Amino acid sequence: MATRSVIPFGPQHPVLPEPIHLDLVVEDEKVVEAIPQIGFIHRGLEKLTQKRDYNQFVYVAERTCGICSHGHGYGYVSATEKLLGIEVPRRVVYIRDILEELTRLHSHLLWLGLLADAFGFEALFNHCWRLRETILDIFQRTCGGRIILSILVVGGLAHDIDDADLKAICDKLDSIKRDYLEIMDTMMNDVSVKSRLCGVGVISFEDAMELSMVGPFAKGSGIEHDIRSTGYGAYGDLDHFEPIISTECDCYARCKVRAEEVIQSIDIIKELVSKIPHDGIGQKSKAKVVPEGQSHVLIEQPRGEAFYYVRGNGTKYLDRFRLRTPTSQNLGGLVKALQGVDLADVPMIILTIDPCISCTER
Amino acid sequence: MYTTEFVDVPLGELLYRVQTLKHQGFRFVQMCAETTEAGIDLLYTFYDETVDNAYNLCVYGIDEKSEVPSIQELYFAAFSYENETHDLFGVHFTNMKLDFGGNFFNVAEEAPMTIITPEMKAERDKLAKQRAAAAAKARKAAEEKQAAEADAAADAKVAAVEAGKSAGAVADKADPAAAAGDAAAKEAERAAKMEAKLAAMDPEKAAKVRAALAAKAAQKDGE
Repeated sequence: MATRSVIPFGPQHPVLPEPIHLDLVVEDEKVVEAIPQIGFIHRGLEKLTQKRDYNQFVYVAERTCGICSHGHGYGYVSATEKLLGIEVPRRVVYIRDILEELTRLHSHLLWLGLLADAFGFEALFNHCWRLRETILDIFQRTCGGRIILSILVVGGLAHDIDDADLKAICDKLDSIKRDYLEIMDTMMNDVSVKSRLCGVGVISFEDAMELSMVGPFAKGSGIEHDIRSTGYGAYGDLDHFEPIISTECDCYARCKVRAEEVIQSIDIIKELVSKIPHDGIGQKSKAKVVPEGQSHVLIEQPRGEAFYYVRGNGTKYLDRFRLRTPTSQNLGGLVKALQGVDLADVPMIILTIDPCISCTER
Repeated sequence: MYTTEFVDVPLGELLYRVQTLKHQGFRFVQMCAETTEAGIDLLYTFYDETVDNAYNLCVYGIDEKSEVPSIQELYFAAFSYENETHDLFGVHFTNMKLDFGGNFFNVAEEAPMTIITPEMKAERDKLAKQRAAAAAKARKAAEEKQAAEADAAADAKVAAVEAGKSAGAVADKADPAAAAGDAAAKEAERAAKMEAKLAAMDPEKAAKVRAALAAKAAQKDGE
């Protein structure tokens, strides 16, 4: 009978980009069970609603994460505007969604680079991150910040992005697309990449449904769930939107979904720029208090569906702000995906859920 | 765009309601807790893909002694939320499939999310005072309105009695002594009724009415 042993994995590990700890129960190099643990970087951001008023809290929400910071700000302001009954101009909605898609681009390029680095393809890593830098340059030119954009306010935008800048974004994206297609060809067809990803960390469609998985992790198992298809924000104005899915259910499928979402996001941005209305950028809410009540919104972040909930109590502070990240939802799927895999494949599988533990712990 | 629904559920019915949603094909989205003055509130969110509806179950007023049934058997993804709610809010769950025993979030303080910050407490106190002041103002306005209506009714009655008295004086010319006796009795009765009303009235208002009556009597005497 094989000997069972427990291998502690993380929170500090060369291949782990995020501080998650796993107790891996292994039997002859095969993982029998994986028990995750988080809590190393819990910052109590949700509790800060009791110290910062609803307008100030936008800045806290944006600082939840260093990758999808715009998305967290977007989710927070949308939920608060819903509670306050504010309807923002369509231009605001368009610009928020354009920035969200740019965030998806840089998040996916970052992830593809990290994955390439994890399986030892350094050149691919360099190229992915080179392209990501271009997206960060766009952020810097249009918003001032490269990571924390600070363009959002409850009720609108802090400043506009003029049409010339939007046109420049489209031109830049055309050149990125050309370069990216070359990288994608290597990423999807190279033998060494396929040998590390195909058939590894399989999660069946049924399991993915059972575990309520979200984002590319779920789409890689054939689940056609993408909250953008409900048409929230400016997505309802797109001529056509269909979630990208893959039915291979393995690490390769998740990689393929993200790789194809990059192209899809570029197309979405160009379409939104071509249709953007000119009806103003709204203004910061002047309401002194948030009314009693509750509201929530769901938005599609790069890692999957995220949930934002706010509850007002008649004061300027919110009673509760809840942020549920895609990673929280995918932890159950990660536990399942790690069962029965080789120990050497564990880092790869953890990476394919694209965990963001700092968002998850808040 | 998806729709949103909030439904209140007693703690005893929670598991049954979640089971029903599971059988209807709802996907689990999240669970969160919130500290209120009446205890901890729980919010479970589910999503129906077929009609794009976000369905929320709200359980109110969980106290320290309450035991909340775990939904991990139905939705395993709930394990992170239940352990988080236990560690940060001190809520006890029963029959958890994956229980970290309070070690999921390594926080220094026990149930840190149940502590209300001084800023929030000050705001809540301020709101309570504002609400109490508004209620007192509304009550006073209602009382004043009622008193004004009573005054108007009393004045109308006095006017009616006066009119009756002058009509009676014509009819009593035939028997002046009897008429004078009746009039005095009526006057005494009227004065007693008025005094009782004035006693029940707001003192300030009563003083005004008394002054008006005195002025009226003085005018009558002058005539």
